[in-house]
Amino acid sequence: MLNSLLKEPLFQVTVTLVVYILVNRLYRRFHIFLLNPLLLATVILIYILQYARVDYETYSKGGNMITFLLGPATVALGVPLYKQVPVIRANLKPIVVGVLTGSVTAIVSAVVLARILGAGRETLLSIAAKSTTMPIALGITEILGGNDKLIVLSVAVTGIFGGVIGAEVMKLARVKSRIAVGIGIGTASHAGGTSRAIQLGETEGSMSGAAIVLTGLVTALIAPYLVKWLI
Amino acid sequence: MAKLPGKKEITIFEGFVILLLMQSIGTFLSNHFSLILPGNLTGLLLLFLALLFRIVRLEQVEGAARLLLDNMMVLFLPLNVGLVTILPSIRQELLAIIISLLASTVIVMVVTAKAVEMVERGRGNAKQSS
Repeated sequence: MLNSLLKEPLFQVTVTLVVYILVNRLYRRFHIFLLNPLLLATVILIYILQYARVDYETYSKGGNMITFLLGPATVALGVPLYKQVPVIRANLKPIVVGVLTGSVTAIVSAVVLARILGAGRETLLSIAAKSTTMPIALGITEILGGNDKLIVLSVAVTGIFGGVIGAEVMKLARVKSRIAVGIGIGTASHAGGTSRAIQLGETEGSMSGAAIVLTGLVTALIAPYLVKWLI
Repeated sequence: MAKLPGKKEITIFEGFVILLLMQSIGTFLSNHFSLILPGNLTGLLLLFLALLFRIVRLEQVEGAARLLLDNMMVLFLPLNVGLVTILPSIRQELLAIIISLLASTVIVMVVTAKAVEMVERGRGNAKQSS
């Protein structure tokens, strides 16, 4: 019965949303740091689908309805960008220099390293945008011709890692300026890193936040040229 | 007469429609003029400009934007589930991918922060910035 239910988009959407809400509640209550909510929700859903013998192709009928909302979600990023105008204006030069440097470094380092380590062409196209926030990364990867699932994984890994090590890396690298710490973390690891930068202090948090959407826009503008040249 | 919905409900629904409208115009512009920006991003810029020039008020879109952005995780959950379909084909490259991502994240953080510090020193206010 579970099989026939989960073949319907209605149930696919409902199960996905319910799993998300339950995992979020669990995470909020216990706040187990190692247990990443996204990872947990993904594993639970994969398990449910496997148990019900529903393949991904079938599930994606409902899945695509949810994925569709990433479009308006991308546009919605215009709101935080607008709110950050005063912060960006007050720190224009460091933010512009940081975001430009960081965006180029992110694409070049990821693609070159993966290429040296033997990754194939499609993989390189699918990780180039990993430092940008999820919906923007998906749009860029679509233009590059990469794989949407792989960029989702790459963005998630980058965000989680940036959040975990951001503060320590900055300390080891002897970065003293709070502005530099914030822009560095935000440019490298989008919202994942920013959640940690906010804990470091108000300056770090707002700088990191301001860097997210700008990094996405800059990466979108340069990635198609840069990646073509690197591959 | 049916009771009118509360102001907040109208705002979130209206906001969502504004977002879709911006996305649609953005996608049209991107496709029509073969812009390098994906349609969604052109839509983002359009919304930003509309807010900046007061064509759209913040209150009109704030609720819808927050709803989508605060729950971003669930929006890419289905794609994450789809990872199982590509795992077999990337299994051999997975280690290379993870190492590249981790190393690149550290490199970007340090290079970006150092670049920012250099600019700040140039302005001679690196000390006061904190």
